[in-house]
Amino acid sequence: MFNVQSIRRDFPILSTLMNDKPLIYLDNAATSQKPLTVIEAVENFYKLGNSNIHRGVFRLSEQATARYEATRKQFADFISAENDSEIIFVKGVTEAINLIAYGFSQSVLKEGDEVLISAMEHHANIVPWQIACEQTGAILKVIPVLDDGSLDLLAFEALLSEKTKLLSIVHISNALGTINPIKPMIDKAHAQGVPVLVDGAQSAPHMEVNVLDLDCDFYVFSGHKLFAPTGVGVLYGKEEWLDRLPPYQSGGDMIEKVDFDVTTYKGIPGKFEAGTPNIAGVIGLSEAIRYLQKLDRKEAMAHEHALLYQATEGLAEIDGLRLIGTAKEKASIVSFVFNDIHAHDIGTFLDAGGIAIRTGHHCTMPLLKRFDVPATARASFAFYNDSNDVDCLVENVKKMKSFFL
Amino acid sequence: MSESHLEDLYQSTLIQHSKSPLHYGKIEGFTHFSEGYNPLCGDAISIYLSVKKGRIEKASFVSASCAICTASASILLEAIEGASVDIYTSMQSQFSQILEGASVDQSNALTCDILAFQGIKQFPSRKNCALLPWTTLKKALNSEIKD
Repeated sequence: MFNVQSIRRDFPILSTLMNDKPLIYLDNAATSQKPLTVIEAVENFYKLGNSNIHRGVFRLSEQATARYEATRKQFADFISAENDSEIIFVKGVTEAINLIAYGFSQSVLKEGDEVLISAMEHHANIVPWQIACEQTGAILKVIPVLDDGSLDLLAFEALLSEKTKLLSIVHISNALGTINPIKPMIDKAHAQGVPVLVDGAQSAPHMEVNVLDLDCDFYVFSGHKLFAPTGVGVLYGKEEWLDRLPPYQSGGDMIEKVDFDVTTYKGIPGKFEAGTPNIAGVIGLSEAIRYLQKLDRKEAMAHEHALLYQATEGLAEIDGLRLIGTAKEKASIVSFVFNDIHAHDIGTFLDAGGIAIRTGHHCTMPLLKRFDVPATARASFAFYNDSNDVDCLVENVKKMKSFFL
Repeated sequence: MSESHLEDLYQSTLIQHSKSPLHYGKIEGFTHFSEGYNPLCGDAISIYLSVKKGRIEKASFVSASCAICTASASILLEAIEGASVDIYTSMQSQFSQILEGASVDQSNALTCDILAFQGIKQFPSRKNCALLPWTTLKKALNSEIKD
């Protein structure tokens, strides 16, 4: 049975005060809070297990290496990847996409080729492709977004062509909450021989992911949005692709043999993990996965969906409030504008009530331009939020009207 | 920080300026112009100046911005219109002191409305909102438009 009050006790920060009020944390799309087990795993590693990996012949190093590599296996199982070697540890989604974009600019893209993204991408899935296109003469194509915040799928099909060398697409929009129909899109892209990169920054925390079933070529996500520490994330790539792409960074640990004449690299995954990685972060990530696997994720998703419904209903009935992103399929993210009150003023007002939301362009400036708003206020819910959090949000938004207008 | 701090920040002077900003709109025949952006939130402001013989004869702005930024632009342009361009540096240093919460001799304040920004000290993330019109004006002063 999903018991949100018991779950809340696993997250120490949720019982703290902010501005003399109980903290109501609704910025989960930016970063999630961490359960005590994750915090303790990181602390214990530094207290009792700290060592570098892959190099030491002493027991402490071997133990650290074993835990690091066990997490790779754990993660492969978590997203149903076929091989552990298809799991690359990175800093997060931004680094993962940069790694792939660099590889494509070196080994795949040629002048006149096309890279297809959508109008709802995070800057992290726009700028690396702009740079890759600039360097190779390839062209960036953009799938438009409809008024309700869903993708224009007819335009998507029309944009796919033999020139398309990659579809790089967000699974769940961080600014709108839209869940994109990834599976049929991947099928359509593959039918034209186009590989697909899925930005899973928002989907990994909200749904069970099966990369084998999706058949995506790359799937990337950040640990810190998945209840793990900052500075660690995962790039999943199909073996054939990872073998084909060149190293993104070079140096220690990614080589087989270094000579001034010829240097040879390790195979995957080592080829993409130069230097000492975020070992403690990976250990925290391992514990976060363990925590998630103890939850009934279907019940957690249903709970999040109930919060989304409650927030949407409560906010939509406030006069002067406009929801941005009303697609049929949505994750628990609610973006809105309210009369002429600027999102930053909304954020500061709610903060005085202990409510943490995100305000601004959410690193999706082209998307906000599409909706003709400079900024939105965004509340994003995790499974540890409860209906009281939503009530407080709605009540405080109502109070704001008499303050500013 | 509490609700009383919130009222310190959003003083009635500031709310008034944000609701009905002075000098809003694009002036004809401007000699200086600049745009400023806050990459954090996407706020944008354009400042137009008509400068003759070292004196700011007309000043105006157009923005998509929050209450703090809009009020700051309104108060700044009201203070600077009609003044010599040389006055900007001393005004800005006075404004910086106010943002740090320093008490300023009211009789010295170029305009009393500037004091409404004293409450911002409790809200470090909002200082950039108040400063955007100031940095943009500075850029505008250095950007004379040649015919």
